[in-house]
Amino acid sequence: MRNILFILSKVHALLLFIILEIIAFSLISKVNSYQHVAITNSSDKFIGNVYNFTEGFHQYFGLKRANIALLEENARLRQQIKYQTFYPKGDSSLPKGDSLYSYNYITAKVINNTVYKTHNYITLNKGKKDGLVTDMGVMDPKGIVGIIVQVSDNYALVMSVLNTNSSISVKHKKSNAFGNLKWPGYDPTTLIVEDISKTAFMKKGDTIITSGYSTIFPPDFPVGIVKKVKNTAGSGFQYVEIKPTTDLNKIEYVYVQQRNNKYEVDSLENNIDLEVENDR
Amino acid sequence: MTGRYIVPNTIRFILVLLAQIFVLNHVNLFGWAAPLVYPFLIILLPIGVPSSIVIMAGFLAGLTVDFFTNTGGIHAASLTLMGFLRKPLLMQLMPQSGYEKDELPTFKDQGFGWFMIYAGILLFIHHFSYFLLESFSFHHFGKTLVRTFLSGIVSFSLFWIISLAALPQRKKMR
Repeated sequence: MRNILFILSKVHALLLFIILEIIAFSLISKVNSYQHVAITNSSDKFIGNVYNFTEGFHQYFGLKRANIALLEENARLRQQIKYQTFYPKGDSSLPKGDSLYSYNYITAKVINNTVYKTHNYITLNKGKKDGLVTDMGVMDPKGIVGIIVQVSDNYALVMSVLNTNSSISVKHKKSNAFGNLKWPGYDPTTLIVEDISKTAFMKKGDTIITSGYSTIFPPDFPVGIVKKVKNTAGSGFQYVEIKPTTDLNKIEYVYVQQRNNKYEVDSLENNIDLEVENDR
Repeated sequence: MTGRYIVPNTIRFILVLLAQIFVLNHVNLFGWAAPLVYPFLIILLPIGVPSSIVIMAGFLAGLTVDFFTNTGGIHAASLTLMGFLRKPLLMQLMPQSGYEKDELPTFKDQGFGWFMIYAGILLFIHHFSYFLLESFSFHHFGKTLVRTFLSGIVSFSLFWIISLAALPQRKKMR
């Protein structure tokens, strides 16, 4: 009798183990798919609130750094105003408020951020109530940061560019050659640009900027500086390692880009796809 | 398991998980070593605790960490595995006289060498499965192994520092 009980208790543990592992793995697979970051994540209301609370302490220690970053941005904006005066106000020969590139920016605070995982996410302290929706581009004054993948009422979850699932359209500033920004994992200071044509001559120190082909980021926004260029024999593409212009480990305040006519552009593009399909 | 272990263990679970989530999760040495101290919650549970309770506690502790780190169920999966393998390992390492009732799997009760082997193996199982699931491929196998060992050393050192800091108090209580 005691033996039977002993065996039963053993089987019981194995059964429990298998069930719990199945639950855990289904949660893992949910996180790894791009669109379904559901159930357990830090845009959740409770966890968002907890992070918001602890961020209050954390923020205090980052005040100096945040101040310096704001000063630098101020200086850059002043510089831009200088250039703006080349175009006199009310000059009718200039296109009025280029509607294709009309953007609004929402500022948000980073309340949680990781850089050393394979799938890194960032939590922001703003959400649906502040006008954030999924697929909005997130950047800080120095460069791009990531794309919003999920929003709750008060918080948003951002897929960092340091996420192996992330893929962003970028271009080489000098030659205008297009490529895909990816992260191979492990090193938060190294991103790679894939599928960039060999015909574009690239060298160390060149700038990589956003392409503006996707409606997520504004065009010509800084992304990174070329660190290393590798030419693989037998393919028409080169492999480019870049250093992101923004230190993703230290982001505190970010801008979320709201494109006023994003949905118009997107639905137009979708229509074209459909028509091409129909024609076939 | 006698009831008197439940309250102190629950308090310990909460304190250690808070430390892991809000302090240690933000520590990362050179991008290679991330201290994970919460497996010691399961490692140090009394030997007499039934296997199913150990597994369940491992799953819940892991899931709590997962909730805060956007990792889905990686911590839960690896800690559940570790909890499941704890019993077979305890059986393997059992001294000839067997374990006494209410005995703890600590270096004080079982000896330094025994504890190093016991905790070392369990910690390796947890760290290795965690970093393997985290990179989600065998592609970076070498890097995963290096991370496992470096993080394991850091986690173990941190545990020793914490328990050494707690030791003088125990002596007074005797």
